[in-house]
Amino acid sequence: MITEVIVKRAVDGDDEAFKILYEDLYKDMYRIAYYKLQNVEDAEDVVSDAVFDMYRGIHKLKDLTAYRAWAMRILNVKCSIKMKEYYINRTEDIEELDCQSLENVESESVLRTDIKKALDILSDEEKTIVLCSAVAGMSSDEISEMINLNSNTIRSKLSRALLKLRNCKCFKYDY
Amino acid sequence: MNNDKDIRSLNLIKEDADNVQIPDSLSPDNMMKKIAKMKEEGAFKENKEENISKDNKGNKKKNKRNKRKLMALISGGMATVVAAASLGIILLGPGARNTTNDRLIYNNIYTNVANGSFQGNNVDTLASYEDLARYYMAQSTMRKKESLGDKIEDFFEDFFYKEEMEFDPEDDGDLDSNYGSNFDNVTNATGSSAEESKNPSSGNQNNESTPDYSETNTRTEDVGEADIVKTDGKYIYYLSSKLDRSNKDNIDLILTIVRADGEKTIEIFEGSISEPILNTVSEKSNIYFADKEMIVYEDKLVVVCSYGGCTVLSFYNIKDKTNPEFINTLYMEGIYDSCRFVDGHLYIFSEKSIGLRYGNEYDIVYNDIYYKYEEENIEDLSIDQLKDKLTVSTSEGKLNPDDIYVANCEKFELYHMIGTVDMTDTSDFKQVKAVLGQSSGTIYVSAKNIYYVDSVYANEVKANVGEEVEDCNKSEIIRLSYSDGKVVPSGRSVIEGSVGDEFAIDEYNGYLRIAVSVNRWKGICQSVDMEYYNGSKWVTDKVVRIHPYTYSDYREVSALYVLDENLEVVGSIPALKENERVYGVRFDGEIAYVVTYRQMDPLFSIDLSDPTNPTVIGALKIPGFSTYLHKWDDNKLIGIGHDDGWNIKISTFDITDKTDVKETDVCVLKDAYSSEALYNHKAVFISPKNNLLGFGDSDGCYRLFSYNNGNLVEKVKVQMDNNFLASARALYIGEYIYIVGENNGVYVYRMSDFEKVAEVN
Repeated sequence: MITEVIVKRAVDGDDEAFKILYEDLYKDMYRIAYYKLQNVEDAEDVVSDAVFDMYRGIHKLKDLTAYRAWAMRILNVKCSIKMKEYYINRTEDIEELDCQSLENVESESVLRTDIKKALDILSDEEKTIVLCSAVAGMSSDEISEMINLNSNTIRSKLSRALLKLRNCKCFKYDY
Repeated sequence: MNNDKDIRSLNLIKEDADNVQIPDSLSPDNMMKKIAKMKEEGAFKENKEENISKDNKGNKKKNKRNKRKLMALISGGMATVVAAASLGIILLGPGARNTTNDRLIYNNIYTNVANGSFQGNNVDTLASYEDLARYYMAQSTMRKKESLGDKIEDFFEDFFYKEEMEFDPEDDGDLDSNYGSNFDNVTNATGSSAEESKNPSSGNQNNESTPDYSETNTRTEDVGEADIVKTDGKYIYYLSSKLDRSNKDNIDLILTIVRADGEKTIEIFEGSISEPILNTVSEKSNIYFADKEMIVYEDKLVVVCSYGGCTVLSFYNIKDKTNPEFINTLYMEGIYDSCRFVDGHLYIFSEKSIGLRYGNEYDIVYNDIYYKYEEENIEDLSIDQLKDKLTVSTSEGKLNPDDIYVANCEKFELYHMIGTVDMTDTSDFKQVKAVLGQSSGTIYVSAKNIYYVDSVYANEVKANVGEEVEDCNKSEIIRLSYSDGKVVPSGRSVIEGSVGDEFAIDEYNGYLRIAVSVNRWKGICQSVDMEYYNGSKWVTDKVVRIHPYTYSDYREVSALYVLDENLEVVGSIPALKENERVYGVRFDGEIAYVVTYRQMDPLFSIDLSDPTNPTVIGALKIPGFSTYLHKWDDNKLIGIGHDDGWNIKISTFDITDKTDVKETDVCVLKDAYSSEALYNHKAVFISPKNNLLGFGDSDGCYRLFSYNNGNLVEKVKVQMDNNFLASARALYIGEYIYIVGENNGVYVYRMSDFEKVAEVN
């Protein structure tokens, strides 16, 4: 359980406290990065990068209760930068990317492949909202703090995204 | 989600996500190690903002091959390159003052104080807040003219395209190793980190001054320091904080007084002392009372803490221990740093960061996500608003510009505040002074002087364009003499290198000795056209500086300097050890012990008996390193630090023969990886007289050791707190040892057999 005391300690530069915060966050951070980037190595890089920035900037965190939103916001920017990089590379690296995705297919479950494919139909923002609520269990209030949107907007965007997902194989329900 | 299908979808993703394997490299232990390593390399410095802006810009670069590699470089090392570049742009500096008379604004903010006794090392005071505000404005407009962003992008484009031609495209390794290391250099080149200075090690042999009870382990003998636990030999006073459940914005600050009487130890007072502090500071904050500490002097008790961006002092009359009587509070702006107590006078140090930024360059808008920093943009402020922003105040009102000394740096980031209080009259500050500086530095207080050692950045070099020159990081020393609560500037000087903590600085017989880590690099000079506003018109000037991307041949060297009373270097060891950084230092009169570290831990003994000719007389190599050194007696030196497996290690060195120091005992705590003792000397309890050494570890256990036939043996290991972030202290009074946990009361042990005899919660 992360208390405000721990967050405050981390803000004040206590490495131990920072470690506790990190312990609380890193799994969710990595998983979100993994689904967004769909690449193991890049997700790892992005998370480390984000953590270094968090460590650099934690003394500026004012709202102690919002540390999770704050961390995810940094991660999100890092992911966005990475995705832009993919976009720039798309023509040159198309072969490479194909190889990568083939490798991944071999090692992962059918369900995961389907989920990843399904997430690909969402916009980046929708992906962020879906992953933050599903993976990190963040409330719409927390997400709204993270991406500067009204929490009502977040809720409607989330349900729209989930509706979109229902067109995909793994999210089609029989009943 | 109003729909169970939606919930099912989310659960499905959640379930699948739970099965995603997390790479081992991201485990908290590994990540903290990585951070520790980067910190060691100076990667975490103050200018965090640049790191983000550069990432974003880095992405706009087009590069055909090795994209991923290049991107990794940009996000990893390049951060700091841009930091260096942005620093290079501000040239209205003291260097400038010496070269061009046109830079009026800069000159305007200085008025020379008639204090010529220090051969040009005068410390100037601020003329007025308005001049300072104008100086800020000028910096801001100048920056705009040079337009940071585009130039850097162009540069990247040229740089990487060029490099690509020269390199074998398949040879990723080379690219990494060559450029990777260069960027690392720049990381270090841009100056010392705030963390560094926050990372002191150590203490002093002050315990023996009074036979009956122990006092807080201090840096300088006879200079008292505040702490969370204090004793006067009869009573133990300690501070703790409790979460106020009814109002989660507040954490209650609690003072507890315990009568120390061995088995009969009892608590006689416990009460909240937060209210006066809350009433003092108008700007409420939900940040709890940070860095709380106190000092007990005769019948008075002072609690110092940070609250709402201010340092608040609350005074209590403790004549009646069961009912401390509140007297008054005082406050000054700035986050509390530390406090000293000499001859009935309190000296309180705080640090107020100015928190302004130039332009909007640090904001990122990407995919509707607005990534913004808190600092206010100077361009959005009028001169009056800016003036208000730059004004510092205390409970006495605005600080007079005459009381603000100006450090010799190009960009002012913060005020170092010094408030003094006479303990016989606590109704007001006796004096409040401030030093306007660039970085949060190290404060060292000797018996006579206060020293600020701040890292300074100077970008202008005296060389020809195209010439390769060597440069290094520098620190400015500002000396303020003090006595009877009065602080007067008495000199300044600039030295190469940066100091790790206050133990690396020492005043002895009128000489100042400093152990530093110097980062040296080479670079090619270029001429930069700078436009700046000189107060009435725009002036273009050519300035020579090292091109930030040509940095090469980076080295780190540990060195030692001896400065005389005029703060001029009279003796030095310019290269104590190549490629090693200074970790722990202990000056013992005419001998200095210095630990440097990269792979092995050389413990150098240095003879300083001739200040003009310091000489290394011994070097001992052992694995790991010590961050805190403490002289136990004439024959023994204790080092607390890490072994090579990152466990806590307590080394005992035999220093009978200074030229041949030996490690006679090693005590490794396998179950602890960190301790407050590694960075806060006040957490170390040390009493050679009673053969006792103690500190709390990172798991909330307090550990007491004592020597048995020359070997250090653990006598007590007690779990003080489940919340291992809480601090614990030990002290002794008479025959008993009292271990005080911040949130766990007092445990009493008999010294003779280390039996627990009482417990007060």
